[in-house]
Amino acid sequence: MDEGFNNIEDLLKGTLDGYKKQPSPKVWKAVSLKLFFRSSLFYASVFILLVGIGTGSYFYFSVNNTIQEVNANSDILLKPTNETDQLVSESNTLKETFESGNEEQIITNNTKLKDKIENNEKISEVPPASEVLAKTQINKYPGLPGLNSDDNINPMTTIYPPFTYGMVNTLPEYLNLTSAYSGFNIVPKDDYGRLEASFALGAFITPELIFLNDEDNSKKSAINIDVTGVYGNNLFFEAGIGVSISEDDGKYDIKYSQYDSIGYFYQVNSFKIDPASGQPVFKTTLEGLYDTVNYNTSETVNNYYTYLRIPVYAGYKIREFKRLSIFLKAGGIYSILVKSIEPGIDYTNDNATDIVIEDETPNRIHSYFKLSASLGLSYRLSNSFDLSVEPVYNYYMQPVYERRLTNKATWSIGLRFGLLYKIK
Amino acid sequence: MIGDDKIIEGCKKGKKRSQNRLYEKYAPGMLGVCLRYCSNMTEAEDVLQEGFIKVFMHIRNFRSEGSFEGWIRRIMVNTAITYIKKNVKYSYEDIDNIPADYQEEEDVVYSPVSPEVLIKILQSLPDGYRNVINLYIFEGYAHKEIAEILGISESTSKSQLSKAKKFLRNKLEEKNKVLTTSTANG
Repeated sequence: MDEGFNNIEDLLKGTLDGYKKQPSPKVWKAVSLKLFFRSSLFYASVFILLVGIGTGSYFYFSVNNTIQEVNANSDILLKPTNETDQLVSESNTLKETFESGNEEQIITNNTKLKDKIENNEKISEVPPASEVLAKTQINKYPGLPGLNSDDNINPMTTIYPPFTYGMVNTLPEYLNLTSAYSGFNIVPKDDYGRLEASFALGAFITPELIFLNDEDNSKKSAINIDVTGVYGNNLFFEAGIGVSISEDDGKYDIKYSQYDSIGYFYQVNSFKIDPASGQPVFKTTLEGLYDTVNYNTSETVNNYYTYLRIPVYAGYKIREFKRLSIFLKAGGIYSILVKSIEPGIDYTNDNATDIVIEDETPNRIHSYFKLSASLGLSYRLSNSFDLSVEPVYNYYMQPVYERRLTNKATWSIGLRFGLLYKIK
Repeated sequence: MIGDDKIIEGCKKGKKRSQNRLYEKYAPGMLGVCLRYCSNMTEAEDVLQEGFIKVFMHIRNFRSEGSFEGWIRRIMVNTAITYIKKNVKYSYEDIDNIPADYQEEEDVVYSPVSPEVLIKILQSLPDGYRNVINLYIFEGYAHKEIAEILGISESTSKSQLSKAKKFLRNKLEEKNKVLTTSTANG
């Protein structure tokens, strides 16, 4: 309206209604980031991470405290005294009785031994048995013959664990209660019966082949990078965080119209009667026939998807040969889609009209959980560094796509290479 | 060209690509709306950002019965008003002692002005006036509705509109964009 406006309202509406201005790129980045942090997926991942950290911390600190307590008590308990010598002698008698299989005698001797311990003044200075029992966790001994299994009581371990603890390294193997059951402890014990466990930080890279079993996509590749904490020894726990970048096809269906040849026909230009045969002879030209033809084609491009991964594993070291060890590991990985790179396509055809491009790329779900198992090999490079190689099998609890065109499960195999740095 | 329906469907499913497409399509227009309500570009982009987050968080509630653009626009306007109330010293202070019963003359012609210039003039209005003029002229609200939205009296809304118009006219006069009909004719 070059002539002008009759009032302010018309001027404002005529000039600014529909006014557009391109915002700076930072706005979309901020929107995108805030959406992620407000999504339930984010809270779910934080929850899982916190549970992982909490579990790890629980094991870490509880064992640390135990080691300190046990060390403190062992200073008192391992001090040789006449009384302890005498009690060791009594325990030897108990051993003989045990070997003789005389149950009545075993109980009598046990009671005698218990009485002697109770009357020993020095030993009674030791902290209450129940406290130390809880800390040392060595009350799993099923009991000597003749005791009720329901009681789960061993006078040596349950009532007088401090004393027992002092004795475990001097008593014969069959009475060494901690060593007898160390295989079942989460944290193994060192040569002095003290609890020991290590904590290591690991960095892993895993090339992975995913068997999508989707109608269009059979298998695709991915690369995963994780940073994890590994706590324990024979039995260990691993949790951490990582990223996974997976490749997939972007599929586009292109429909367009084009004025094109749809065939030909013979145009009769003239004819004459052949005098010999009396039949008409036609003079024709070949003419093309054109019309608007609808075409349908498809194009494929490479898309890339980045996932945030939260792996949590429990594992067990099954064999050790000098520097080499073999372990089994199982757990789960929670993955959250954080970035999609889908370049799309630009279809150019000068003769085409009514071009319609339909994105046929299957939508990816925002998060999924997969079960993971591996049989790994680790090699101790030095006191601080371990190298590990794990063939991994993953079973996807959900398909990665929103649609589901097949009942076949999605699974993947990979080879996980890692370097672990032992912190303690 | 992917239609709105497919984009909205994708957004409802939380597809990032659809969200990006929706943003690319509507953000420039919505920034135009935000610029009218805010006093500068930084504020307008803040409002645009907050508005789009609300759009994506609530897009599941959108039913394809009405205009989608209208729905986004309402969200932007509400976000802008909330933002201004919360973050900016909200002012209905008097401007230039303009009488509240100002009436536009009928023999006036306003020359076309570029949107950028007009936005600048609009942004120089105190926030309260700007809100009233936006809600009345662009969103088509009645004074009673404006009073409810902004928490002011109906008469205040009316007087703010009159004063704002006069203020704008004065600014346009300074830029020689106002001609009386007699001048225009000759």
